[in-house]
Amino acid sequence: MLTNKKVQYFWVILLGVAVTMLLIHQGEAVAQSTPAKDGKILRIGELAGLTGGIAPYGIQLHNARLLAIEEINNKGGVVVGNVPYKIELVHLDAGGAPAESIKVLERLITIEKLKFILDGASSSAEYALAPVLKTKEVIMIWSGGNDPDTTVGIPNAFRNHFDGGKPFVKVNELFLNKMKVKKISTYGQTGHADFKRLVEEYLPKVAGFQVLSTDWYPYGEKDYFPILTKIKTLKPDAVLAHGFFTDAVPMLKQAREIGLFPGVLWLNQYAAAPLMMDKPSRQVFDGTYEILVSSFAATSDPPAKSKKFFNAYGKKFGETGFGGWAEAGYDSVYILAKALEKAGTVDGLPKIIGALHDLTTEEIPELLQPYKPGKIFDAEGQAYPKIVVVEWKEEKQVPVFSDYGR
Amino acid sequence: MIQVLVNGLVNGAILTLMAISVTIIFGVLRVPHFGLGGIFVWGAFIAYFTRITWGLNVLTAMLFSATLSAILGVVIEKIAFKRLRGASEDAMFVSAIGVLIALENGAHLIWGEQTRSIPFPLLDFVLSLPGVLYLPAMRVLILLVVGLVTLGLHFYVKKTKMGKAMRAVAQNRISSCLLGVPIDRVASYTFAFGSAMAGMAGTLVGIAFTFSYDMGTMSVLKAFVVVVLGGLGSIGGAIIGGFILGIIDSLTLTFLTSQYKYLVSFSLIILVLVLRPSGIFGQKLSRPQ
Repeated sequence: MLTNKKVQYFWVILLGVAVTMLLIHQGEAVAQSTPAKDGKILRIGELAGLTGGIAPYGIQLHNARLLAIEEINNKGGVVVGNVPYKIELVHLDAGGAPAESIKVLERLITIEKLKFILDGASSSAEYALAPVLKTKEVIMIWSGGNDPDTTVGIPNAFRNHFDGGKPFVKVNELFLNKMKVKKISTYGQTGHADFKRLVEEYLPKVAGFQVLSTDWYPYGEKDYFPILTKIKTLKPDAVLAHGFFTDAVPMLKQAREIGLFPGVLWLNQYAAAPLMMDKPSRQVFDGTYEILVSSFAATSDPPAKSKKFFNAYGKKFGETGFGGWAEAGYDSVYILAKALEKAGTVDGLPKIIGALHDLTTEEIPELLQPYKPGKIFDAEGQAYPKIVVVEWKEEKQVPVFSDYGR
Repeated sequence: MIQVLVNGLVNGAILTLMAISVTIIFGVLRVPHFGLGGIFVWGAFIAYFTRITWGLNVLTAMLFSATLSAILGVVIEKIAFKRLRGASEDAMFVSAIGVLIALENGAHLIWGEQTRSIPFPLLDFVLSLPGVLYLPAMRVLILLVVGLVTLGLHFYVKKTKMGKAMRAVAQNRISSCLLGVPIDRVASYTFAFGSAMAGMAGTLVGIAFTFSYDMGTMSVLKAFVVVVLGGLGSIGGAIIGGFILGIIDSLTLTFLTSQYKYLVSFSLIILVLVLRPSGIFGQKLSRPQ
């Protein structure tokens, strides 16, 4: 039976928990930057993907952004209308989950009062965020996720990573034709709209291709044997696999165990890179191809700028985890900074949006990804970095093909 | 077809081990111990780090992991369940969920979210009958370990004094208590066995596939489905249920659909339960006293 004292204790404890949660929650948004002694601060939000399946990609984006911000601040900051601003990154982790991303976005806008937000969430989160973004006075730059057309109809959204719709399909088609592939089986993780559209809408319509099977696995799946067994009986020329690269390791291992690979052209869409995994995992990838890449940074033949960036990244954060998404994150900061300088304002969002649309690749020499020359973004806010196909050879990624897909 | 069935058996073997661990605790103490999903995760991490850091061979790492998992299980019993013995099933259920969340998040905090795999180079080969069957040696090990553990448990429960005590408590806790059966010690042993098996299942998954901090929830959910399918409190039912679900999964994936594998598997299970609510080998259990 509950006595009065017990009821009182209960309410005290409940209140204590509520206050503690509130204090923790208030402290949750983490501001990171070079502290400014003089001058103004420009706070930029980041919808970070630091946990969950997206973490291997989101952490690269986050670290690369910190590096870019440090460089800009060390040079005096971004100068907007003759006023220098030091940049401060305010990040909250959404773990790549769509529902969580929306809550985090609301928090960055309403509580942190931020107008510029950089994102590193998964593809499905971008679709979820789009209708919310349209109603907000913010500018969002996505540097990750490949779902098709995520910026279409959203005037305040931009993406400096490649579109997983038509451009990506085009590059897949060009590469598979080059490799004389006719019969294809696909095996992807559920929840990836870019892959779903690729295999269900685009590929079947490409002349000369026959899609023998389309299969899916849920997040967290570990046993791919049954589907790989089925694929083996169909005798495809190529297998297209898509998901988080942590799925690829056991999948490829099992494909080897069952005798499916080597024997087919195995085209990964994992955005995996050598330093994102340990040695035994790298060995598992040997002989396969990777196409979900728009950067030469993690390949065996990086350009000089990328090499310099990699060295700086490694010095600050360590080399482990470095991959192709890092450059997209780095570029997003420079793109935003340049747009603000060009617009001459940190408040006039329409002017800044206009400046983003007018920005050219040549205006930002610091850019690392291989963008199409000329304007960075099209009318819908989508950029077109080259999509690179690499072959895994002796634990390294060797570039074998690349195209803008446009 | 043989490959498909063997795939299902191997898949089912790990499910079976988890299901036995759930059944043994529920059967003896009426505790729906979802926290075993967390111990499943910790078992994998313990085996991984003993293997990598101390260089122990896989068998020793597995035994060490099972031992530590058993100890962890006993500690959890003392902290999270002992005082709830007379409480409702709802209270135990909530406590069990809390244990699962705490353990998974604890693993995340301590070891991060990187997906890992426990290396076992000695078994890095495949037994094959070309065109008929490809069976990685690791999967044979899974079947062997599960078989040995099941036999060992059967022997222990049937032949030893503590095993008899566990069976007595499962039948009637109050009468057992009155007859001098040490309930606290039985509870500790039960949790120890269940947790050791869950830890071992996690280790096997870590060796055969990959593991991460968040793999416990789905694993224990599937184990509960198997337990209900096989019949609450029935170890034989858990074994049969585990293999049945593994084979259903394999057949569904290969011949029906991969996209809705869980829908098909669990719909069939609902059908079985509609026709036989107590499960395949279930008995009508009295309410906990």
